[in-house]
Amino acid sequence: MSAPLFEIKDLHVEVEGKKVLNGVNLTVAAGEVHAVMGRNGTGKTTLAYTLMGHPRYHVLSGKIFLQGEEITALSPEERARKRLFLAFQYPVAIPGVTVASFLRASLKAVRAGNNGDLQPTQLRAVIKEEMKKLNIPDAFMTRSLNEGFSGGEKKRLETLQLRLLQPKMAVLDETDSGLDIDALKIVSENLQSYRSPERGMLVITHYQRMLNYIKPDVVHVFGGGKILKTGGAELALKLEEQGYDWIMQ
Amino acid sequence: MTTPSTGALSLSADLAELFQKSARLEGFKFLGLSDLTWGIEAKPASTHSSVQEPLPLVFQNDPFAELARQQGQIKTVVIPVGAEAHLFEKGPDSTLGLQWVNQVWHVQVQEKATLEMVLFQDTAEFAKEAVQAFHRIYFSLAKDATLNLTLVQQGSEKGQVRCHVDCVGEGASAQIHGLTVGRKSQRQDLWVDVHHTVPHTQSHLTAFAVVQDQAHSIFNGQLNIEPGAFFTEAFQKNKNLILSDRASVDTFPKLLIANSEVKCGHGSTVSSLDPEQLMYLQSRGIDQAEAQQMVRTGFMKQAIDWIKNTETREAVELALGLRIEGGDVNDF
Repeated sequence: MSAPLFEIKDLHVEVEGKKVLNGVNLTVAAGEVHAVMGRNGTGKTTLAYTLMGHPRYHVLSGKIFLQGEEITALSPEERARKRLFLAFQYPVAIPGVTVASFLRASLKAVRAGNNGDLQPTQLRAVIKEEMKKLNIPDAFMTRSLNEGFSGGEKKRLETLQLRLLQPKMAVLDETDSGLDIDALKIVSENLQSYRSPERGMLVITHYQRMLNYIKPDVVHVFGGGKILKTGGAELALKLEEQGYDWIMQ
Repeated sequence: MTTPSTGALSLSADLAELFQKSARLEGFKFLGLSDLTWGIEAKPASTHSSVQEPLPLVFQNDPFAELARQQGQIKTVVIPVGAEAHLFEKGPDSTLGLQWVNQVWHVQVQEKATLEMVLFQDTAEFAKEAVQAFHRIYFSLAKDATLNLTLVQQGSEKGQVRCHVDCVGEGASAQIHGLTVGRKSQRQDLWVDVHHTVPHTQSHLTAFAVVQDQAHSIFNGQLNIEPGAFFTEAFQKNKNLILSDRASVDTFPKLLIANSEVKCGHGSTVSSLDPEQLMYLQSRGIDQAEAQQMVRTGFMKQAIDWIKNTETREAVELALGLRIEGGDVNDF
């Protein structure tokens, strides 16, 4: 039997001396979308950063596997090259580095040798096609990365990167925050169309609205740094109606 | 070519001719020479057929640089009424083996004239960095004159640029960017002093410094708003990126305001590489060393991107290592 696409085993994490994750267990099979929901401050973003290897988050114990290979000790760039992706909740601005140069460097690093080396002209064509799907104008490319971007522009750029880098496993940290109704539709549809039998997604969100477009196979409720309850798509609807109190009790 | 003596210098006609050739003087009038002094004047816009394009004046192979060996220079430039000019001063020339350079510029931008000037104090190509370079630049901006100035320092053991801008005509405006790049044990100073003496003038100054090893950078900025300079808009920012524990910066942004009808601001930041920026780039597969280089390059490009003249901007980027031959790191 082959290994699951993505697996988290009994993960305990501290950040700046404070224990935040207290034994997270989660398995995503190829083709599945899992949603993680929960109140503010329960450790959802800590989970996202830890999975991507942020150096500020220290794994005390537990393991993370991607396609059967343990990645717990790998650097962020090594994880990215193994096709793990994190869409940031708050993408940081990097003045003076244009979106174009950033995308070129990133694609070169992740896709070279992974999905064939694209020639510059092919690369440009692929990027332009994906930008069109997300309603991103050409002028975007010469702007400094995330500098002065609206919330919607940042999330579109995160989604563009996901589609270009073609990860096997994507973690989306509140990608629906900061989006107006139209932008939510465009971003969500582009994420939904990225689903495939070979890929998996972990969608961290507070709301049902994005899950209307990206139907989750499994919904987890997060609290106190671990998963408190797991169910199907109907669990997200119940949370939307009743809140979290009934689970906490 | 005339050989400089240690006494009073006499600039010969053949040297003047050489100067005119090397400086691409089309569109400019030669003002004449005296000891250690020369000058040029851009022709008025109406007499130049290609006035829509900035007039190029490139001192990259300045024949006068040889005269500056153990000496000094005074250069005078007049941009006449309505003219548009571009000046690029880069040096000293690394092939001349200078140890000490002292240049003084007097630049007069007359009514409705526009000047883009790039002063690149660059001694990075010297094998031994025992070069000391000092530049003084004085600008006078007349009514509705526009100055877009970029000051760049790199490579000197001791390098100093002192810039003084007088906004003496209403509607005058100055956009000033600075970039100091310090390595090894270099010490570099950037002084910018802007005087607003009449109403309705503007200045925007942003100076960047990036230092590594044991380098030390000093920014000294001063905006002076005189009592009668009502409705002035004047801002200055100094941003510093420190790349090693032993590198250091001093920053002195100052505002002297003598009337209350103004919009002014000033500030400084000093930081090392932001781990969140590095994390973001690394999460996209870019290794740590390249991520650090990208953040550093981006920081420096914030000053250089303001240079409108493409040829000059590319030359500066190349000399700073921000550009590879045949393509910008930001080309797409």
